[in-house]
Amino acid sequence: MENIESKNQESIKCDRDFILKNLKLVADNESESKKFLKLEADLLVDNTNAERLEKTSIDSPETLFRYFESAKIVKPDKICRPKGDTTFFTSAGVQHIETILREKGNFKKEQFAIAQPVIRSQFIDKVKEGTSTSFINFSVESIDTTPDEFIALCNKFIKLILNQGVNTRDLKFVAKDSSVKWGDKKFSNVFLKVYFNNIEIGECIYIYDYPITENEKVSIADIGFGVERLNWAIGKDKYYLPEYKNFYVNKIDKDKDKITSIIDCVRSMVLIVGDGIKPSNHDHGYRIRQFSKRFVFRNQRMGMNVAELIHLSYENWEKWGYKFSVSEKDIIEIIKLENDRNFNGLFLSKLRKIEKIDIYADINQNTTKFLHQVSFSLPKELVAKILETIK
Amino acid sequence: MNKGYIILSGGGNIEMSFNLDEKYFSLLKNNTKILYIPIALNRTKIGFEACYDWFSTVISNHSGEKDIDFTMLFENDEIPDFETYDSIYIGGGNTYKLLDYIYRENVGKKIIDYIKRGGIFYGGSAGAIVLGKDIRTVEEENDNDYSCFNGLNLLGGQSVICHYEETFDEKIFKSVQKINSQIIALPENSGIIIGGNIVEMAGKAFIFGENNKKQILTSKFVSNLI
Repeated sequence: MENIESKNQESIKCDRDFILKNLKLVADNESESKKFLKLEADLLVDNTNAERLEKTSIDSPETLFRYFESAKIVKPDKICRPKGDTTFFTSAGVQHIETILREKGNFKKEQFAIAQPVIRSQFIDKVKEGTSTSFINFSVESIDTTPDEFIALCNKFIKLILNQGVNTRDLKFVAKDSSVKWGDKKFSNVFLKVYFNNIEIGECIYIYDYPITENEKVSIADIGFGVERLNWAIGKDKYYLPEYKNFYVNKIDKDKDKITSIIDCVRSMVLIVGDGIKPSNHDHGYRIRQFSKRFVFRNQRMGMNVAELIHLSYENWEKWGYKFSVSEKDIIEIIKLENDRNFNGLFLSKLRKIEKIDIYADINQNTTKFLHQVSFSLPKELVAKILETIK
Repeated sequence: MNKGYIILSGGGNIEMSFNLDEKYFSLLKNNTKILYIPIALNRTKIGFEACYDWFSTVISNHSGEKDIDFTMLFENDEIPDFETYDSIYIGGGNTYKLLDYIYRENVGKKIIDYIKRGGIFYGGSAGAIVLGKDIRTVEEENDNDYSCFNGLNLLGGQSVICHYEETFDEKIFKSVQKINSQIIALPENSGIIIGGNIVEMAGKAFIFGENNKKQILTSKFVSNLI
């Protein structure tokens, strides 16, 4: 591993100008927002001809790994990260470098590809078609890398998108130099965000100085995209989560965003519970509670079957190579019980809001037992009236 | 007169603000929903996930058996109706960036109305400083030629500085003269709770005048703030 100071003196600065020059990006004066860049027209033709002969499917791990064949395939990290890592949950493929550091204590020059299920809780109240709290972040990471190697990876990613039959005029870019903070680690990078029809579909980042120790730093190239979002944005799939097609088709209320927001809660819960976490008011378990509350609230009068959603989610994460440590049966049991708890809580809160009645009932039991307990304090008709507003 | 509560935190990590946070969470009922606004921060996606974790941990440390939930508000999000939240929590970061957002999105009036109507507002570091008269107590944070420095002035004409240490004294005396306002100085392990006709301290805090610095004594401080 090189010392960053001596390395900087010798090497080319991989900044925004370097990216623009080497990827042949120019200002897109036609776009409404002047921030966008586009590919030079001549280059587009060359790029597309080169790899259009054989289309690379981007909805399976095998084809993506084959496309990035120079990168070593690594298994996805567990969704729950150990104490001391940057985040509670794995939120990007690039975080595998933290795993390498934790397990081996150092880096060697290498390139790897990872199909990583991730959680981005920051979107928990913003889920809609195209945006979710959990998805597959397909990433290619190049450690101790050069600016030229980074440019080659950017080109490879752009060609992958063009290979899907995307119209080059619809492909836009934003490049920017920035400083970043992950937990207590600070470093500088330059990023290239890729947009299709104004939807962000991936990003390429060159980190100059990722700190390994106080004196030792390393350069990292990080190419990543959300598989579901890319497929949806380029119009390959009608639905953001096509595996759940029946839920979209069969619902009278065909608000796709709302259906996606319900499915999303379950997908994220399956990942966390499947890693052996139980719902609670603490740390990782608190996140399950938050997802479950939103599932119960959003599923009011929608009646989407949670066991079926769990089954599809379990299958889908496994398809991408994720190994659960809890069985599907146990996941169903844990999630159902937590949903019951939060359904009970919602019942009491509706009772308070609609009828201005405050009663005590233990919400930490299944809903059948809870309603039995409630029946000692409330008339049948009132219980039915409140349930009518939720179910 | 405000019906609500204002909690000013000197900043610092979870351990440093534990005592103040314990008092804040004791004001919250079961089934509380907090609007968490980390807009003063500059973060990547991973950074915001870490931010989400941080706030989860704060809640976990103090919620006990209470059900407390939160929503994070980002810079480009539509501003929600504050009245649907039991508490608003604005965290630290760049004070100028935060104040710019507050004016640009017309959030200042919403915060003032929210507190007047009985809401519980927590300001941590930058979130506390913007409640004062003038944010030039942290002039060094103006890294983007921001032109606005008038805070929301909810503290009886006084301004605020956080992360206070004794070595700041000279700088603070200069600021007092420049901004023509007394300055409340909050070390990282301290904070003030204002509301319900009382002012409660967590740890030590100081008030700087033109030529003097005094430790804040609750009883004498009440009339200035409420």
